Amino acid sequence: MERILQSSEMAEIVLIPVRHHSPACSLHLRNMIRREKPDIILIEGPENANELIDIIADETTKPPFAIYYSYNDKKGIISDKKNQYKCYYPFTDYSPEYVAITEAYRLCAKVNFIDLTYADIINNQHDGMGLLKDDDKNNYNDDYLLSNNEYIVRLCEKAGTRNFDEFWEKYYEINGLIRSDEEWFEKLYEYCKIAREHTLYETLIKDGDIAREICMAYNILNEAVNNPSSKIMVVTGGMHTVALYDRITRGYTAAKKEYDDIMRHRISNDNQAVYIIAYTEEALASLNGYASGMPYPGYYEDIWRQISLNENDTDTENADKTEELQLIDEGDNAECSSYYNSALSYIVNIARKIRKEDGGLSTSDEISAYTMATGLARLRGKAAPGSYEIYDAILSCYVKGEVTTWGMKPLEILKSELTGKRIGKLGDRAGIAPIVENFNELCKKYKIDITSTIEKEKVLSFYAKDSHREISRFFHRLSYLKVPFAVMTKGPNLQKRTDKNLVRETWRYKWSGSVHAALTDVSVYGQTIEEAAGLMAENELKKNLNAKETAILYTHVFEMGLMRYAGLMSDRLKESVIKDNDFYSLSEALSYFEVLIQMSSLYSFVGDIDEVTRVTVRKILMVLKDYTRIKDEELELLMNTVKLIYHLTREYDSDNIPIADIGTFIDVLKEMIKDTDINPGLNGCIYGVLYATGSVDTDVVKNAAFGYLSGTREQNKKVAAFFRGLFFSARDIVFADREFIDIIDSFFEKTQAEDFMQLLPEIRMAFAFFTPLEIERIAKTAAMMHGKGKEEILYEDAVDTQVYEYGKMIDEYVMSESKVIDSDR
Amino acid sequence: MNKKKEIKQLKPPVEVRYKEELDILKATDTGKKPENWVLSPKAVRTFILGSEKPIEYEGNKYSISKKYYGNDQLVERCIITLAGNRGLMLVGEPGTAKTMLSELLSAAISGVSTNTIQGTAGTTEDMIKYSWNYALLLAEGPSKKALVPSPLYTGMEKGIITRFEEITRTPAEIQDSLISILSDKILNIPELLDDGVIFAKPGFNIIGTANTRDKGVNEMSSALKRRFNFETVMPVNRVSLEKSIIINEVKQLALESGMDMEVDENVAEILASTYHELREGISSMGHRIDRLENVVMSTAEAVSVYYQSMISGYYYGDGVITMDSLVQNLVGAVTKDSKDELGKIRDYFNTVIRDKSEKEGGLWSEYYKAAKWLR
Repeated sequence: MERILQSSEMAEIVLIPVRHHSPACSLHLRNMIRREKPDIILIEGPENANELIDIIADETTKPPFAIYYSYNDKKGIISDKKNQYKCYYPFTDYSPEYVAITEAYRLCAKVNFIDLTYADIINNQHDGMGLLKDDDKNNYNDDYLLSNNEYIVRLCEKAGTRNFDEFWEKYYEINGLIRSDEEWFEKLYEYCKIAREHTLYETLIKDGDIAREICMAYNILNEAVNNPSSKIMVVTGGMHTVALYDRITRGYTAAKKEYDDIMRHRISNDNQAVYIIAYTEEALASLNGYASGMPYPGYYEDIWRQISLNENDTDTENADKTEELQLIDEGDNAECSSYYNSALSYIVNIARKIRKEDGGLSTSDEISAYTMATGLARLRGKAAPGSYEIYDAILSCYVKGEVTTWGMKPLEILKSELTGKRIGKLGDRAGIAPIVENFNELCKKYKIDITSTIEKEKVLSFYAKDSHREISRFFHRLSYLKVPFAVMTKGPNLQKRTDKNLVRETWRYKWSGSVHAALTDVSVYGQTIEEAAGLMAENELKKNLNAKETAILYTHVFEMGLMRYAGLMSDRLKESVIKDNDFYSLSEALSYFEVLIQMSSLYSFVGDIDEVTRVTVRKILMVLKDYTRIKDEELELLMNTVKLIYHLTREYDSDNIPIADIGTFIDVLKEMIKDTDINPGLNGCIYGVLYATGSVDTDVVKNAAFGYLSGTREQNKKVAAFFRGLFFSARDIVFADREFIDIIDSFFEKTQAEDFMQLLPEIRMAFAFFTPLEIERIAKTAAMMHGKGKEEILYEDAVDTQVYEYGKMIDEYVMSESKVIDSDR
Repeated sequence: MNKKKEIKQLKPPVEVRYKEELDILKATDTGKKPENWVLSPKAVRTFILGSEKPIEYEGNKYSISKKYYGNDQLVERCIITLAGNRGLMLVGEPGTAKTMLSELLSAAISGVSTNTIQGTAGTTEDMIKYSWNYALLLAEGPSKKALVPSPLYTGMEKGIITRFEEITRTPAEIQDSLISILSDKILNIPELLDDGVIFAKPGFNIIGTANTRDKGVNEMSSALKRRFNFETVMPVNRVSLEKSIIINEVKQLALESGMDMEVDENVAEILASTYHELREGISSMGHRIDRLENVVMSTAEAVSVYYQSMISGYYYGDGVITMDSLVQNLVGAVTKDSKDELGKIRDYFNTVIRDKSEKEGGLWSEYYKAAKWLR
């Protein structure tokens, strides 16, 4: 803490260093504000969020929430890529900044953010640094420099703590409760000073810290000069406080000069947006990467609730609550009773949860765990057990056996409890982003109920009704934007290429507060849902995608009905197909193209992918002949590719030209079957296609089958795979020439029982391509060959009920065991 | 001269080896001690994990050496467990210094680390509880004089720690005889009638060690598991730490066996990195390595490989450790567990060590050349 005394020109300035999200810091800060009673409180935070301070201070706004900043770099100021940027400034009940705002309102003091705007901050940062880190969620108040340097590593080693978070918890959170407010801030200030000395100036420049400090120093001095008789309290991250003191003491004129230099490159507010969004403790924890902010928001929220109640003991109601919470009498460390109470309640709650799932813990284990936590605290010189002692107690007393095999469950439960599940709430005054308005309007238009949080269902005949197709696209766009609102439970899945026969989509949707938060999160991409989905897809296209990935993206655009991206998509698809030389990726892509060609009229989607399909087929045919000696696991893909190209030889574009050239295709196939070591399944499939195109007759196919049948024992066993391939592409050949059934029959006669059992799965696969009626027809012919009726070979006696019951029991046992194994993984 | 004569034990117990440190800690210990503990929990921690600052005693400054490397928090949990009413069970792979840790804890807490039961497949309930001197039993009938106390009996009677080594090698039903002792802290001797109840004195506790990876181990019953706090001792996860352990342990072994030979830090580093990489499945240069599945790749094994090579150098060589003998001993250590895994070591040399020898040269090149012994 630093104090710059009042002068005739300037107000008194009290600089308070803070660490973001710290209950002890918030408590000492609250005491300081109540004692000092400042007229103005200035807080570290982008100044373009000043208009939200009213909403933050509103009683109906409940943390956790976050200020969401976005900037669309349309003019390419930040980089030529003209990207969209966003970041979060999360607040919890125990964030010093939140406490400062609410206390300022209590005192009727003026309160402002003093940092550069979000766009200006990133404009002053180097690529890959600060808020320009390649991270999905960048955190404005990331104080990683406070906890991440060689000095701190050595300090933690010396203090016997496993990392900086434990160091902080021991000295600043737990033991910090016993210190006076001034002493606490002095210790933090000293620490920050040393941490700053061990940070390279170059890093501070690249992180944009210097520019931000210039702006903050100017804003502070500006307030001080304009309100000379006031008392100003400045709440900033500790690392900045150290530098701000130096800058402020250099005076207003110097500060203004540096500020003006920075402002020459100022970015206008046109393409910037700032909203307040509800947050969850889970999201808050995930925002805390390595050493950036305190972990375990749920745990520290509990601690804060207790210490803030303890401090408010003049309030009768709260005093009663405090009394309830004083479960443990810890003698000298009465200030730390919140930590003792929390240790006890976590230990008990986790035991209860473990008992529910496993049932293996006793009260004695709980007593032992509590003794362990408190004993460790004493041994480690902590005034009370913290989260690390709770962790150690659970590890030692609740994990029975090796950590690697059994122990993860209690620790997983502990982690989830420490993280917390609380969700923030926004009051009515919180403004909403245009995209949220668009969502509300569309829900009204499509009669989608968002007035309750009960899950509802919508069945859409999207082929038949235009209105249903629109709703389907709306839902698909939301899903693509990862807005947790609607989930398709039934309907064609173009990405998995399943259920293409379904003509209806069934969607289950449910409104919750997180829908608005997720929509605001993607508001940087556009003002409407269609625009955001489109821009997000366009951004995706900028990545180095292969043909398969681009094709999958196309299916999304297709479902979302983003017509105006169809042209761009086709161009990019062609580029990625030309660049892609991976046979498997091209084959997969081709299968998506076929789906899109077949379904484009049903989805009323006008997009030109005939040309790109043609290029893909050509590229595949150029290399297909080298893929004869494939492994069995590759067979499925190869057979599908061959069959697919065959289908495409019969698909025509608008000029009536076939997509794939039949002549070249047949030449390649004929070349392939010349390889005597060709995979038998693929061989069968190719013969099937050649038969279907009329390039060979049944005798040629029979000869190929005979080749295997009359061969040596190992070759003989390949007949089953050959038939699997053959029936896959041309099962009707069996009915065209009865001799095929004779061949199968003689194969069965010739095969020894042991080999037969080994081949059974393959044989079953081969016959899986027939319809039940066709199976019956084959069975009838086969039965007749042996002088029997089809009923005698098709149907078996009913299974004995007891045997069936026993089988079912084994089945259920295996299923439950595999679930246990899966969950253990 | 006299000093040399004093070294008569092949491996002196911890309380003898570190007598001076224990005496200093005892004299300067100001912390609260659980009843019958020689040192306070804080001093026990200092004894095992070393002191950050030297301790002043009788005008001199003494440093307490760090004896257990790895996980400091685990040691702290062990100390707190032993101060409570539950036993401590150390589990983990072979060679992860479980025994050493249990010896250090016993010596620091009770002043003695030799009150030990060795668990084997042949361990019986008599060996755990008590047996009789049959000559006296026949002559005088059942009496305390005729009773032969087990280490567990001694532990209860004196209020000291009893170590139970390799507890899972003992048949499960024998292990279960500990259940009532751990619960009630009472040992019944029905033959002694009214005198037949031994109440455990404060300070008594059990440290068990068990490895779950070896062949021939038995599962523990859940009733017994409930009476222990478990600590999993993991292999050392840093090469630099493994190197320090090898150097310190080998120095001590050389001193105890009277070998006047320095430990070569570079050789220790090569050995530490070999063991570390083969255990982790990835080299420091990023090569993916086939893990040895049936071979114990513990730090204790690495110490043994170094020490054996040192003996060869001292008695049969020129007083220096050679890469040839290091590789020969490495082969011995691997093949005793599984001959089939030698191929993986060969592959490791032909990829990782080859590249390191090209990059680093010097000793690494000699190490690579010694691959000829991997036959």
